Amino acid sequence: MPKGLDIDHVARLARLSLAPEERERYAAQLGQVLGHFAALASMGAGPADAGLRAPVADASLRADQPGQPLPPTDFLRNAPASRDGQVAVPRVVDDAS
Amino acid sequence: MAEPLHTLGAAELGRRLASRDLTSRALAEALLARAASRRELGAFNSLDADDLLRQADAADARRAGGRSLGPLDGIPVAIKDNIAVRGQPLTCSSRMLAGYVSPYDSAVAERLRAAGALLMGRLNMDEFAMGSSTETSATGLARNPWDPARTPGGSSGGSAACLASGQAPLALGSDTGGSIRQPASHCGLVGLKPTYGLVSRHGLVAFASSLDQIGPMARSVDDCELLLAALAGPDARDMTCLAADARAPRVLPADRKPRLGVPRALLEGVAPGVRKAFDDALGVYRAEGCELVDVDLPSAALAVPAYYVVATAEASSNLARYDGIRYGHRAARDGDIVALMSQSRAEGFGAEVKRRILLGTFVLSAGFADAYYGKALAARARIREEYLGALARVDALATPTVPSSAFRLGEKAADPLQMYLEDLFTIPANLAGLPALSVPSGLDGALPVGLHLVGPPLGEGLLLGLARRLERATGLAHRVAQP
Amino acid sequence: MSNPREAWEVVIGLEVHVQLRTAAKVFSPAPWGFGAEPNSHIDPVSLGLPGSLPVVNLAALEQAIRLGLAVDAEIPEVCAWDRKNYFYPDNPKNYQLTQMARPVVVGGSVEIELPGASRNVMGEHRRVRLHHAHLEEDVGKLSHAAGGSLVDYNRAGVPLLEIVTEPDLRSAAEAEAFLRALHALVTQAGISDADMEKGQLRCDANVSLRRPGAPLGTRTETKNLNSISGVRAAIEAEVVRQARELEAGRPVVQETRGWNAEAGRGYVLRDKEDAQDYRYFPDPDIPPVAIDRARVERLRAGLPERPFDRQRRYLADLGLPYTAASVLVADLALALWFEEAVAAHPANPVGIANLVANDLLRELAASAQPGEAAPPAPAGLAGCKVRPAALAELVRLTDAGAISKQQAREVLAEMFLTGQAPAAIVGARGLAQNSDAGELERVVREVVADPAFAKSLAEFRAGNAKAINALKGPIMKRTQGKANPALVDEILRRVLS
Repeated sequence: MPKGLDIDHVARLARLSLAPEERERYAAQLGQVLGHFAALASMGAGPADAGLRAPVADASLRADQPGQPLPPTDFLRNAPASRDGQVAVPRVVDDAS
Repeated sequence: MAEPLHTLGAAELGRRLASRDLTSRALAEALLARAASRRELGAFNSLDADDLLRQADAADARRAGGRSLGPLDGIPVAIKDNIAVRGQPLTCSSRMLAGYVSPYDSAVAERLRAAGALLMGRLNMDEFAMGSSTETSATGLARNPWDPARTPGGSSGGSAACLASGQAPLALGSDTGGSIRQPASHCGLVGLKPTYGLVSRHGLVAFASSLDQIGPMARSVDDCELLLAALAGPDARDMTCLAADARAPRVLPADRKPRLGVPRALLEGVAPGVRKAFDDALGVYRAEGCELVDVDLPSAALAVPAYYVVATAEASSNLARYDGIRYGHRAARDGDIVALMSQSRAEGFGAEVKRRILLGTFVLSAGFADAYYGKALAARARIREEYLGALARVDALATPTVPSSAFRLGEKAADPLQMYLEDLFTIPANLAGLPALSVPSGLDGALPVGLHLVGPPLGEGLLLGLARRLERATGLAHRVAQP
Repeated sequence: MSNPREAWEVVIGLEVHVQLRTAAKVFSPAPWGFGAEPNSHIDPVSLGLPGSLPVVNLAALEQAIRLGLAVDAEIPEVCAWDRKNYFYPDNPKNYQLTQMARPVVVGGSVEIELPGASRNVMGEHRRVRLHHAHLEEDVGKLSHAAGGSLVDYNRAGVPLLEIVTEPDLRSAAEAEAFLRALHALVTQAGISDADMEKGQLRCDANVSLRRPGAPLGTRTETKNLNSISGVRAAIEAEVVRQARELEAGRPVVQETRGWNAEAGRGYVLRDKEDAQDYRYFPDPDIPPVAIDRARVERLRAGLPERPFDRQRRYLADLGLPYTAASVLVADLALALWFEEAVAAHPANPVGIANLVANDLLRELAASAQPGEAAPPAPAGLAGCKVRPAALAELVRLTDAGAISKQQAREVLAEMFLTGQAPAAIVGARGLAQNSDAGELERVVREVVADPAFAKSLAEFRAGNAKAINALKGPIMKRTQGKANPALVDEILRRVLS
């Protein structure tokens, strides 16, 4: 396992609850896969993103024309829980973002 | 005309529809019957027969009214379940999206409708296109029509199983690291991954945005080309889709022999039956007057690691939206919002998807991003340079599509690394944004084997032309597995 | 000083989020606007539905560039978007499209005006440096109900420009001055409506303390301050809190804080231990965008004069008093209205400024519908019956001595109600001043000859210069108040000499 792979930290960042046996299995598999990636270490520092992608001209961007919004029912019928036209979730305490 | 309808290709069906020897409704009914009889192959996640027949009737009415929309009018095209069709399920073969209905059409669905094609069903696939065997599907695995004990490949395994068993003449796949070409190879089909940006991704559920492309799959080169023509085109809703003035196609030069580059150093470890089919194919090209040139691609060994870092990094972000809040699976559990999201994702995603999300999250995380993600970008840039350099000297690069023919279901499921190596030959084209296709080159026993050709940017026509030469020589077109 | 707080230097940096004025969202065509039905301003992109892709709205990019030009920033050749990954129910994709590595605006500075010694005295002007500004998407809105929370995604995808200052501010008052200056700048340029009550301008404040000359201290970030008074109060409270910590020998903890405006109290949102790992990487769906230089120059040419540039011009070129100049430049429509009037009567900008800044604004304020939320005074200027040319004419009449300044105010009130021309009102009301020298001299001689005023006359002749005023009253009375005061003064002195 590469130094620093903290499976619990990664799972928390990824918002994935892992059962204990999953935790062990994924830690081992990730370690194995990352070990196989050692070849990458031979590479120098990564290029700026521009090295990979040519910029597009600003003239190709979208004009500021508002379109038809999606009917709320088309959205809310896929929502697991909704109330008063809004998506319902457990009470969110004031943190994050 | 003894051949049953389900064995006919799209071009032939188009001719019969045009000459009124056939109605779209009769064709749709025949294919629905065929699909019902081959259900055990697991090709479709769902198939809305009423919807298909309505579309067929509309096509027949158009034709009767002299308003045919072209060569695809009235012909069913089966759609992979990660491509949005308005009013139809969009599950990506994931429990996470069970019951989700797309409120809008993908660009390719719009283009197919405009061409008169019938949008047929929702094809099985590896969950969120993550896999090379369709075994990671939460809706049940798909089987190879040529040997139901084996995989059809993946992730577009449902597309391949559908075509090879004659349930539809044409199908859409998506390809992030080989997901069109590898199943095409395993099922004896022609499958093409277009140049990045040739086909709009609007409405394609993202796996790895910088690698994903929708592409055509068919039982012949002609049909594949027919479908590609309908799919390709600019789209202002996808900023990575090429503008109309950036689409000048590359063709084979008329004034000299075509040159095929062969990276011989990469062929070690190719299974003997696959190697034989590959050598036979090269023999065909030599006999056709092509020049075969050895090429060196020294960074090819970096492709698999670079791919898995880039693809999983993007996937970890792309799949973050599936959290049980706005749509998709929500865990039936009380608790705070973090627990709800984490549990919903734990229940909604399968093992391979979780593995890749964890890997992608890790390679982007503080302290590791430079060592993994940064270096993978550098490797990607180098691989692209090498491929473009090689393609400046040759017209296309040839390898087998997959190192071995279709494996037995379950054989590699426990070993992610072995599974990842299935894509050894196909991955570089995605990293470099190049067009590539798989065309049947022979058989390994009863199992089809494909030749893989990679071309220069916008060289789709060039690749299809080369593929057609092989197809003529092998006679491996329009094959449908019995029964 | 006995208060050790005096020995602390306060260091403040602000991150100001401004919703840009566009018709559609920043990455999709959904319309947006304050106060719509929940989830009515949505589309697949702003909801992050499977398969949706962002496309940059050119108008949003242009508004960002305009802000950059208004603050003398560098507009780079290429800007690009990154993904900021974090899970939150108001964040539809659980990543936010933002600009981390290559923002659209780099550097620049905002001119601010600190409070003067009194209301009538201009305070010091300074420039606050910007680090950069980046174009990103707003998130949805959570509201808290019994038994859970509700999410409305109307706001998700609204174009947001985050303007990040250098730690150049040294007090809550300076932070307030910065926000007022920025507010004037963006509203006058039409970059944003910047209505803080509608959340169109929101602010995070980074605060630290240090001994003068010492390295920067540990800072805290107080998030989501949505009123200028809130920013001021939150910073003041945070300064007091940090000073108290430091003076008690406790280090300030790097943390993210919230502000409870009702309670007037800050609180910890999260500490550094759960600092987010945002896993930024270039967004693969949006290629880098090359910014056309010709576009930049076109946008530069289309920007209005900046408020403090205008203020300087009014003070130096037009000779306006500070208070009138400040009132006028605070609102672009008012300033342009004023300038139109000056163009019609260039001889007396001060007279015009005084009538506009005092009398016209008072009329406008008084005419606002009762019960309406008090609008800023210039609201209603567009529908005002007094046109700039007519007000210029009124000042011209006053300057020519046709009416007095007091009469001008009465005429203006009438113009405001009826929209009539000033000359017509003066004529109809018989307000015109009597400047008939012959007639006035006759009245002057009558009064001088009247024994009732002999005492004042004697005092004046004895050397009491002020006694002459006692003679003017009866003259004005005998001309029904219409006598031209300047002419009366002149004739009276001639007659008495």
